[in-house]
Amino acid sequence: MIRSRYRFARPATLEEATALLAAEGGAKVLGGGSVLVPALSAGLEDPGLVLDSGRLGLNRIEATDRAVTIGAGATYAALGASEAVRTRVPLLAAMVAEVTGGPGLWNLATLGGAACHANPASDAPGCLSALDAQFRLACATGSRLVPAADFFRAPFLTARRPDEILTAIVLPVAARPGPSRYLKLKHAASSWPIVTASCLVAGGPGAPRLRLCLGGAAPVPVVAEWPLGSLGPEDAARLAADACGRIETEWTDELAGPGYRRSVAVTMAARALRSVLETPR
Amino acid sequence: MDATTFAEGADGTAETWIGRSVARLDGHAYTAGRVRYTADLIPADALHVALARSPHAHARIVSIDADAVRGMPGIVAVVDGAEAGRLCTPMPMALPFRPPHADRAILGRCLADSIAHFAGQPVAAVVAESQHEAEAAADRLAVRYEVLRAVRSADEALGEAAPIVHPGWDSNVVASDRVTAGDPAGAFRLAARVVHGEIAVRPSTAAPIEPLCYLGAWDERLGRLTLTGTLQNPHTTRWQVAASLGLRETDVRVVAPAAGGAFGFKMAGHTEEVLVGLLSRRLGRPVAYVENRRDTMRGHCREQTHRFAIAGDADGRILAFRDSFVADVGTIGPGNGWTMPLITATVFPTVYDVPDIEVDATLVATNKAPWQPVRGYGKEIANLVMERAVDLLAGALGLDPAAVRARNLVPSKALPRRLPSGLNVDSGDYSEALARLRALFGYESWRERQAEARSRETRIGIGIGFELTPEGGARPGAFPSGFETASIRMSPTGDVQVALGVTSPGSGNETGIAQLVAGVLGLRPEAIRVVQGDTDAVPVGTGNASSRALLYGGAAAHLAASDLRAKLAVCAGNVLQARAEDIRFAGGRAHAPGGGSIGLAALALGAHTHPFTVGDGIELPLEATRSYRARNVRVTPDEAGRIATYSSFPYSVHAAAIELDRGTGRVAVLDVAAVHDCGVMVNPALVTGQIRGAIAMGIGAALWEETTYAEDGRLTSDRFKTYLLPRATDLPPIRVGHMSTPSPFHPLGMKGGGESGLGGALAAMTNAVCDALGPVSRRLVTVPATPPRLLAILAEEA
Repeated sequence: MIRSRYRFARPATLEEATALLAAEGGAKVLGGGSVLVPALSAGLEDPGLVLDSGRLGLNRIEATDRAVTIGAGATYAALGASEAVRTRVPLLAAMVAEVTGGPGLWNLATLGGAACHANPASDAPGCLSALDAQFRLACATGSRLVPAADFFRAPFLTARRPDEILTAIVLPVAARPGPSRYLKLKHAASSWPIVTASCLVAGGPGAPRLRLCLGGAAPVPVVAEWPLGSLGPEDAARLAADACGRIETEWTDELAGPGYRRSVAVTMAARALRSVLETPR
Repeated sequence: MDATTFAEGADGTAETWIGRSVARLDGHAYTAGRVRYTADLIPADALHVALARSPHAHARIVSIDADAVRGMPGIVAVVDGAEAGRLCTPMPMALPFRPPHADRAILGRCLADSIAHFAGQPVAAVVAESQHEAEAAADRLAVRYEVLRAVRSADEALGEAAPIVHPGWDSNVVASDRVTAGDPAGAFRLAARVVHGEIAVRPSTAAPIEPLCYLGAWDERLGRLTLTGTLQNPHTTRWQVAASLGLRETDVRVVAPAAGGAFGFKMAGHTEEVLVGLLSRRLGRPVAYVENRRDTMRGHCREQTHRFAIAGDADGRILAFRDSFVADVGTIGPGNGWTMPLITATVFPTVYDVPDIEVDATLVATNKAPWQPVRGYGKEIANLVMERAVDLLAGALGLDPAAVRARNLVPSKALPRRLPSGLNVDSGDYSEALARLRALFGYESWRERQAEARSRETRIGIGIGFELTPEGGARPGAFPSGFETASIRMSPTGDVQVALGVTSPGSGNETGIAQLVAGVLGLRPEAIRVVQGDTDAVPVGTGNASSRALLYGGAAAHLAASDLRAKLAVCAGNVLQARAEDIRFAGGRAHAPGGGSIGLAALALGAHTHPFTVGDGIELPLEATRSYRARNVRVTPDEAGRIATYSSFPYSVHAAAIELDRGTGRVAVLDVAAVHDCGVMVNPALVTGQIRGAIAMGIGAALWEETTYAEDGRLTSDRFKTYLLPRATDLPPIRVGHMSTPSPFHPLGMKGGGESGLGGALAAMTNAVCDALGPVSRRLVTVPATPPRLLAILAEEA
């Protein structure tokens, strides 16, 4: 049961929204509400203002030659139905296809909201880091683009300032996407992701690079990248060990205590790498 | 399962509805959202209570400062333990301790007075105009504690110089039992092979989707309290609440509306049942308590650690079994949950013919919340332990576990037969069940697939689990105990209503009861109105526990309906000029041998309006009340000093195939099948639904469900993201086969059908995981077998 009283605003324009955020220090931006509303119900959040971004028109998904831009308010259902996501960003399409929760969640929850929540044990941070996403943040005085490497700063903490709102996620894409693989480890369907492994071949045709991102393994996503060169499936174990060597602090929580994520990260990394490297090119 | 909807013989003269999968009479109301649960019944003018709970497992309450809270919006009252102590006495135990411990004090107060004995114990109640306001204020209530040393585990509780959990007790031992047969020491000495094992079952919970909810409404004019709520045992609650509030029992009316799952969790003895009544009486308005999910998840149970040994000969014949176990039952409250490990001890050696056994049980108190009852009621743990022991013996001898089972099953012709605990197993054909399961599951083809699929990354595991589930509990001293009652009435227009002291947790038992009554009276099930869950409207009864709704309540309804039929037969004989004993009832009419007939509605009207002719020779009105008292219960101790407190013994055998990911420890459930026998089934579709649900719970208990605590005793598994229930996508289709070996002790041949499946699935799943682990499986001690635990074992292997 929501225990505390707070102001609720559903502005119609971005200008109004950013002005409200600038004026209110302890505001919470409501995307689909799949995280914020349960947290309010459990008494874990006590905001002064809840700003519903639902009328800001931030739900468009647009594709150009070089980028797919996902409005911060696009739901998982919209992403799952998007031709641009399916053909241009297959890694994201694979991630979206594995989001559990059913239509009740898919029709509400947003990728932008998940990114801003920055829960280490969730799909969005790892997948978006693997895609080299850029986050468009708007405030009353302008906007800026923040790359994923700078956006996910700590567990449940992003580069977004309290007076800013995420408006879009920009995903750089090639004319023809390279092979990719999204693997997620969960104890059971109702578990949150324990470790995710996003692997893809990125970069121009002249200098393709193999990129791997481990989500859930550490407080923030761990990205490793290698020139693709002549790497093959037999290199997967070595590269996985290399990538996992970059995990400094292991993330732990109620479902996976010390040691578990570090162990399974190697397995998941190797499986994702092998899968991509086995793809004929 | 083909559900025959309201099917009837072509001539419309169905003699019986027993064995027919009649669609649930209330099914549409549930699925269409027309059912009203307790929280739907809270009136607009009700006050809401929220509880401030101790964050400490053991602490002295130094002070409660309510001044700041009293000024918050909507706050009506703040009540602490001292005030509650002046307004009511502690709630009595539903099942009192026996001498010499009959006077031991329990935690019966609805609010802790001076000392909190477990994390989560209510220390103050905040009453407000809305639930929002009540919860907000309860969060802000300033309670100062002095933290005391808490007993956190059974080992600690039994250690020297351990603090005593319950004031006034001389130790932390709550109860103990010892079950023996033959000469286990001698048998172990002489046996060719002895295998030792250990199983530590971590706590888990029933997790009903509908949390607890109580509504107390005091009527000052009548001096009566109406308590509406999530209550499995309305009459037990009536007595406990009346005793605590100093009311006459008949001045308390307890109503149990439709329930969103119960599974034992809503059995009597939650102190909030008293609290809402106390507050309503004090404040003069209805008071509602709606539990939040976090508090529902506190209801732990099942925490038992078993150390066992099994002895066999080289051919896999089991010679002896020994088990010593300790159960951490937390604190003792008014409820029955703590008794479950005592039942565990009585089930051994389950379905096996083991001449020499010895089982020691010790129940220990710790500073944790009281156990809440759960489906399985301790029997599931006995079956898990026994089935692990059999598998370990088979493994040690290099024999197929199915073959070892087949070698040791009690033969059908040896039943009825007394277990070492004194329980008298009624009937069954365990060998046939195993044979049918092998075929249903495809045991041989699964073994072939397992051999072919061996890879570095994954392994298939196959497990079998037998389960014997004593049902129809009739424990002396329990309130009420081994009987149930039904009152049937036929109105002057021929409407039939049957009121019973058993309740439905949402499982559909009212449909089964209607089938039984309809069959007796020659009516259709939908013509029978079943009334349950209102102490002003139904006879005294136990409510919902131990599969008694049909086993006891159904039998009572059948008897009452037969009495009513006898009256109707006399009336029909008067009208049709025939002998009463020749009247047949079918198609809604009473038929005389000569071909004449009269509709029951006309007959009922005639009996009421023409009592000297149509109603001649019967006692009006057309009502009957009958009780069914369980048979196969023995209160005279046998030569070993044991009594028999369960009347029926359904059993089932389960097979499971899983895939273990050796790189992550993750388990995927590939296939589950079970063969089940609860004697005569009234409604096979409902029985199948029950066993499928129980199997899902058993799989959850084996793999994922675990109540967890932080170092300081705080609950960490407080939502469905940290307490993992199986979802539909985690489970394969559950294939169920039925057998029916009627009970010789039940008038209709029934055995209980509400709990079977949990223990067998738990055992089969655990055995399957161990099968996939291979030789290193001996290290799998802890249940549930979560991925981190399995990966740690696999790492040891490497």
